[in-house]
Amino acid sequence: MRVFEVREHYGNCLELVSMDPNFHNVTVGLFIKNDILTVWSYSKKEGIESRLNTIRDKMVELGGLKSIDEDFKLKLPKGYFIERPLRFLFTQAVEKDPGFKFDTGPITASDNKTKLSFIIQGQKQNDNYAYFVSTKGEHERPFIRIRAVIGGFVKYGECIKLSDESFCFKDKKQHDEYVRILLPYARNVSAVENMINASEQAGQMNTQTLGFSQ
Amino acid sequence: MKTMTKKERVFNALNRQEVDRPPVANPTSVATVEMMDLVDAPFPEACRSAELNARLAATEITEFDFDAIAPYFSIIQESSAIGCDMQWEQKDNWPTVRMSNPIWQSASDVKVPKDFLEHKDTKVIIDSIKILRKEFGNDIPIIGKTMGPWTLAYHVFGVEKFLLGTIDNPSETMLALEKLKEFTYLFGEAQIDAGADILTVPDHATGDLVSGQYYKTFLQELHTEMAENFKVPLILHICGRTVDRMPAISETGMHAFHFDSKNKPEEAMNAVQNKIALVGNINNPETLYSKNTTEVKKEVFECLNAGVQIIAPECAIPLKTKSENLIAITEGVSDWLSEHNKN
Repeated sequence: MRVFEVREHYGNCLELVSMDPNFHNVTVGLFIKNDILTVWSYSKKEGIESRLNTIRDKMVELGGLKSIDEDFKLKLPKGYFIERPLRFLFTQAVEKDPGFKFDTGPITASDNKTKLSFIIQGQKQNDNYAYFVSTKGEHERPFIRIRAVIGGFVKYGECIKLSDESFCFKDKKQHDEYVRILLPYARNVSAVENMINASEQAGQMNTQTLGFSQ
Repeated sequence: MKTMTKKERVFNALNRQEVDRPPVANPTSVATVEMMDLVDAPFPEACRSAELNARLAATEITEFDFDAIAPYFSIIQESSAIGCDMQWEQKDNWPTVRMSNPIWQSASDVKVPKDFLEHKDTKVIIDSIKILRKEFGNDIPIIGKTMGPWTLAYHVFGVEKFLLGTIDNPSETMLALEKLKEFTYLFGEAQIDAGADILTVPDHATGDLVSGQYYKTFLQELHTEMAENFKVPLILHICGRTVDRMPAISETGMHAFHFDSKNKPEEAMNAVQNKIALVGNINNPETLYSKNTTEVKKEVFECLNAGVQIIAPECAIPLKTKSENLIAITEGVSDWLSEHNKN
């Protein structure tokens, strides 16, 4: 398929993973047109169709999206278009081992700056579905780390801060899959920003990357 | 106005003459990871095999409908042939010279290797140009590229050592540049013989590192001489903030200057006073890499409103640039023409 045909059929590219470590280092893109997402690659390597469907299925499994009866495509349920978690989800679906699964049960992650663990629990409050962040373990001021995690969800999930311990999504609905995806990023924004910046610098040709500047 | 061939359009723009529509042509590179997959020509192999190189370069025309083809994607082919320590990287990153491990210490070390033009990494570009010329005929301009002596000096001496030398021993620097320009001529002429219509000469006396006065002292004369000696139009490329040296660049006799988005199109046009054509300057790291088509078109409009003659990304585009943003450059030109009732 030509470039202009891809744009016509699949829409705009939301995220591009330049090298798929699980399939010949091909480049894979996530495209969006209305509420339909398409996983697509220009590669013509044998087996590429199957690989694209595997990535699509992984996105459905990890992200709570809906598969549709068409190759490479999936549907965004209402309220699920939140750009950053979708992009993280896609990257994970491409880069993680195909057998990778999220843990089931409580949403938890250890803090990589302290010995604390974060626990996130959702709860319906009137018309709002709120998520509460708590910690387990010893630390003098756990509330600082909790506030940082809330800030991470606001930054990457476009969430709304409800209090120093809670947040909700913009559509005020339950999005446990996104919370699970975002928590590892939200717990350490500065490291994630460094990672994103490094990724963005790769493949750029400028005076910095060429070593022609100070 | 009758429809021009791509070659007529680019040549007229380079000569600051009337065109049927402003051309879109990147004198540096439009290679992307998506196109590497489309034509099965990934980096670094596409920098080292003429067939793969030509295949990837051709996407500039076949997929994006730009007005020229530029098959030399990186800035390291000559340096590899000279013997610099190379890091070839992988599909999604640029090959580079390990400048912390320089091969030469002084001007007296500068010698052209006997096999310079037969080396795999120079020959690949020469042979790719031959393939492209055969495939696309004479109506599509092919832009070759030959590195200027300043950039080569960074590669062979190391950036810090070379720049310190410009202060400690300027005559030694001049001598080194004089000797290094031999590579610029040899590789440039070989590309012209192979079929290149135009040459880009990147020579990174960038605003980040050296002043406009440095340009006048060390490079203006060398560039003027190149403009006189090469048989084809030259496009000088220097990254970074360069508006302070644009008046000097405009006096060299080169046909065009490929400028960075750190210079606003209007101030750049004012600086060159219509003495040289300008090529540029869509921002790469933010606009083309991470923004959307609307933002790309907005920058195309800014360039066209200022009178920039050839619309292009400011430098080699990021390898992970999304294809839709490249299509948007050509579409931006069409939209601008429609808005101004010019076509």
